[in-house]
Amino acid sequence: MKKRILAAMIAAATVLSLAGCKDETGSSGDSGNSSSNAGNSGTTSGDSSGSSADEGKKLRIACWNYEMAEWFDTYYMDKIPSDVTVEWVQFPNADGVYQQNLDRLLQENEDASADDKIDIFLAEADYIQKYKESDVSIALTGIDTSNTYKYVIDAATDSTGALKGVSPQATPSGMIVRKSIAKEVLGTDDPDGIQEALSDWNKYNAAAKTAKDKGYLMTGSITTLWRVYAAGQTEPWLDSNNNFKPVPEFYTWYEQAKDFMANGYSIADGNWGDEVTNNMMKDGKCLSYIGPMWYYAFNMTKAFDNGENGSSGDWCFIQGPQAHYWGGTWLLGAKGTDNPTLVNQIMNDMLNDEDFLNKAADGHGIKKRSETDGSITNEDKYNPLFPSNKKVADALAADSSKGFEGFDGQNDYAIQAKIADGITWAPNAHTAFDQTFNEGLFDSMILQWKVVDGKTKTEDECWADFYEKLNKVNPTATHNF
Amino acid sequence: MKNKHKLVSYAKWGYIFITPFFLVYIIFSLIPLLSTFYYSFFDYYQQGLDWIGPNFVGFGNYVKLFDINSTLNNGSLKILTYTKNTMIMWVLGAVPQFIFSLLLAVIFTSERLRIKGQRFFKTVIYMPNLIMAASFAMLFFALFSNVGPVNQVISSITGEEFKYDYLASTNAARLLVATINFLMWFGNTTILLMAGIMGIDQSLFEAAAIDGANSWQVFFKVTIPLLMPIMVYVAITSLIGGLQMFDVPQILTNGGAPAGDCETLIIWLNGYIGGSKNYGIAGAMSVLVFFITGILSLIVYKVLNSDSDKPKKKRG
Amino acid sequence: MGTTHISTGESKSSRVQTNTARVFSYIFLVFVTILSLFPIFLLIINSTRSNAQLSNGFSLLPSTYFGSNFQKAMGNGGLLRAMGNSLLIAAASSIFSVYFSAMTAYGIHVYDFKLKKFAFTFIMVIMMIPTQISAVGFVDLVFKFKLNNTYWPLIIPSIAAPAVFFYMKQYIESALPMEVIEAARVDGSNEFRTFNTIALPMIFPAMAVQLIFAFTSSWNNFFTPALIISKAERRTVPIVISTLRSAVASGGASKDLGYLYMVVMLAIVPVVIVYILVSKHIVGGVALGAVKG
Repeated sequence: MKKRILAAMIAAATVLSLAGCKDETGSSGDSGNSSSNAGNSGTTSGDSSGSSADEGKKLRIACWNYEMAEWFDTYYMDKIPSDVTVEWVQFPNADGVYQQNLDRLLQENEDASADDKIDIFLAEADYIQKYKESDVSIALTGIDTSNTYKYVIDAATDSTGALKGVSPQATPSGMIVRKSIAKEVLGTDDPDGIQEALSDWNKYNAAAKTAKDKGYLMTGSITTLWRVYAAGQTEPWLDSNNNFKPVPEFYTWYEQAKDFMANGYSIADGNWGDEVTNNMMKDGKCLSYIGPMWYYAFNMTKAFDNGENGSSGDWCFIQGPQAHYWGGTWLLGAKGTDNPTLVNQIMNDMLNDEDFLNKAADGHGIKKRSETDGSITNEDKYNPLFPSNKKVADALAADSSKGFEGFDGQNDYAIQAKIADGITWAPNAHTAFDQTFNEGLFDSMILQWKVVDGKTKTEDECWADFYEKLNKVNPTATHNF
Repeated sequence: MKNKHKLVSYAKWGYIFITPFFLVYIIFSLIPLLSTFYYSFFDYYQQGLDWIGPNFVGFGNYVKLFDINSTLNNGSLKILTYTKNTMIMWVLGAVPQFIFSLLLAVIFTSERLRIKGQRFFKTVIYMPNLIMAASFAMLFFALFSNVGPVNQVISSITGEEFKYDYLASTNAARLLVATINFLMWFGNTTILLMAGIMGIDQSLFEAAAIDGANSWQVFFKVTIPLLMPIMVYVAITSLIGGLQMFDVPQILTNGGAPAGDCETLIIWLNGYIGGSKNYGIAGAMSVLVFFITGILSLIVYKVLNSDSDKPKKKRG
Repeated sequence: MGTTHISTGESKSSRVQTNTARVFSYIFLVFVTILSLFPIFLLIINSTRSNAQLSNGFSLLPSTYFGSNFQKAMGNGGLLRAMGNSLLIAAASSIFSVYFSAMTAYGIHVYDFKLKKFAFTFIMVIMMIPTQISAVGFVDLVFKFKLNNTYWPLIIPSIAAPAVFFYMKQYIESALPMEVIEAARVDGSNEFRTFNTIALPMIFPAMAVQLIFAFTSSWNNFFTPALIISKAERRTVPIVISTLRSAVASGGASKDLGYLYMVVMLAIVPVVIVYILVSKHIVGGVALGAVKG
């Protein structure tokens, strides 16, 4: 019996080593061409124009979730040459894991084998600064930016004026308001009326008190409130000596946050906190959430999809007291790519392919990708995108039949198109470490209100917690604060 | 004459046979160990997309680790905090583990009690040891979640909704880590102690019985002292294992929540090697962990072992 | 197996004492059994229930969602592939570990050479050094030689396994008489042949036991693989679990409890099954090594 077990193990090891170990083609496990799954593998296309003969046959795109992959799979694959396969390489965004892995891949990219090379990588607004200023991203050519919102282009243009990336998406952001609660608190559930009632910060703060008196929260997550102010930042968090100093907008948020938390107008948790999410549901007690289209289409999925327990139809979108933008996903070209022509084609299409942009803005019938390993499932998903192309956006704004499904007939494009027109990307306000600031700092700050074991942290402890995070990504940063 | 000739030629076989071990060790353990120590004297880290260093800074990294106001510590000595966390969680698990194991070992080896079905029980208590720490932690994460079975059972007992967030409470989270460690290792400890007890010369027990000793006296005056070598071995290996605690708290609390109270030394270290890369600081941290391990082991050894018996040297 | 023999004359009161002690002992043993098995029992039950059922209430009875949870957990084979990877690494590591530890122990035991004592002491010392302390240098080495995302750095080092060596040495000392070796030499067998064909079969029980331990320890290893493996298809099981955990924490993955339980179950159950099959060797083996000590 023992001998047989040992023999079996040796046999298994031999077989597996022959089969698996030497596989150097590097096909990522989360590839779109995973074979055994039913449904379209979404890799090749029927487009007759074959790829340039000397370019690579594999297009690898690095990402932190599959949202872009899903839009790509469903609406764009027919523009990819038929002999090219597209593969998405994913690492989670939390705790900086995505950036760590991306950095390593990009630094090795020139020497990587053709099938291993990253060709395109995605970056958020919070860290595009880091990648666009570095030479790991390539300057794009032949991109028509005439119809794109300026801030989208500015965000991806480096200090020498070279365009390094594009985005099919603009992210004008506002407030997503619970109509039934607004009726109670503000006296109206009509979007225009609600906007009037919350058109500046004085009204907003006063409404918070009324909401509380009636047993409601004003806004879902106190850390998200920061994003309204972040968009207006004109100075960076780190000065030219790598010294950290909180920006003026931080203090604005902080004063308001202290007031809000002392009075119980919001929750000391981030976007994905359980309580924050629960308050979106049928019995939820929250008047509003902050966010752009991707927020309610993605983060608030549970609220809109949950049938009986959800709250679909009970929401509307308004600008709120301060127009702002939040986030966004840019595609950048990776240095060392072996598909430069295709990359530039894709980049240009992301900005100008009206067919793609209209379909993505419509967002129906998207083939969902599995959360476990990114393979394409048979489930359908609804995830509209606000386009970065002004022409397309204005057309949507003018069409009264358009609008997010969960908003019961309101055309959210109209409001967002107006906001998008006014967004500017402050040229000197961004650092390579903004993710640590815009997320990490605030996650640390709320520890003074988050009760753990009956205690909360002191303000000093919150700062210490944040400085530890900062030290990890930027060991030489100083702070005399 | 002939014999001497043969002896010499066989000696070289000794070297041949041990070469693979030592070669591999030198390449994959000794050199990395030395380079870890080496890097601890350099500034060598990644900042954004750039690598800075290696630049020699002497004891600079160590200073940073011990300077309470450095940008590493920001007002509270991290190395102290994380050692404390690690030790607390170790003790919480190791003490019950040891007591349970000793008790079980005595029960199993007692002729008087004549326990049946020993093989079944031993198989059962050893099983948790084989379960991946990561899986165990994940399982407990699910069991003790807000709407997990534990809360549900309590709810049905008290009749009220009980949604205690175990992982948001420092004490509860640490206890969970300790419990998992305990479950994973008490089987192993039991069997080791059993072997130790069985190794005690039976004539000693008989002599004690003849002298009229009752079972308590036998236990404390005969069993325990003679078990000392094994108990020291168990204590030290448990301590070294405890200092290396990583998988369980990392998976259970996803890195040390709440607010870093379950963060162990190795989780801290891992953050500087696997996460953002800072070989200089990580090197210094490794050296410190090495010394902490050595010192604590020495303390445990001295405390439990008054007469320094060195069985290992005899075997050489 | 012998038990300590206390030959006392049994009086009535001491018999009552004994019986009470026995009752308490059995209660204690049952308690410990429940403690050890209950989490696993719950695991199996819960992996058959859906997330909705799990959120609603506690039950000791299984339900019918095994299939759908199973499909979700399998995804498109990511977990299965990780299990294959883990199996490969663990099998290779354990075989190397056991074989070379036996070889090293044989070398130190059988032969008399100048550095013999030093070698032995050296190995004893390094046995006490936690591996994580050399992690910085190890990672540096791996990345420098572009061995990241390969399995070599996980398998080759297992050739040098001090703890396994120690166990083998103990066993060889008592189970392998020098006469056998000398007889083989007289018969003309060279040293390697003697080792492989005569010595190894004799110490096979010890090797089998250590094979199981080494396999399990490699299968369960999280820290080292996590440092050098980043490609999704090269992940080992502990890494997959860790990825899942952080996804749940950041809200990226829906907290579907049934799915979580299923993933854990798939990760654990193979090992548990193998264990039950070979358990008597494990339990015996730990004692074996310790007794010789």
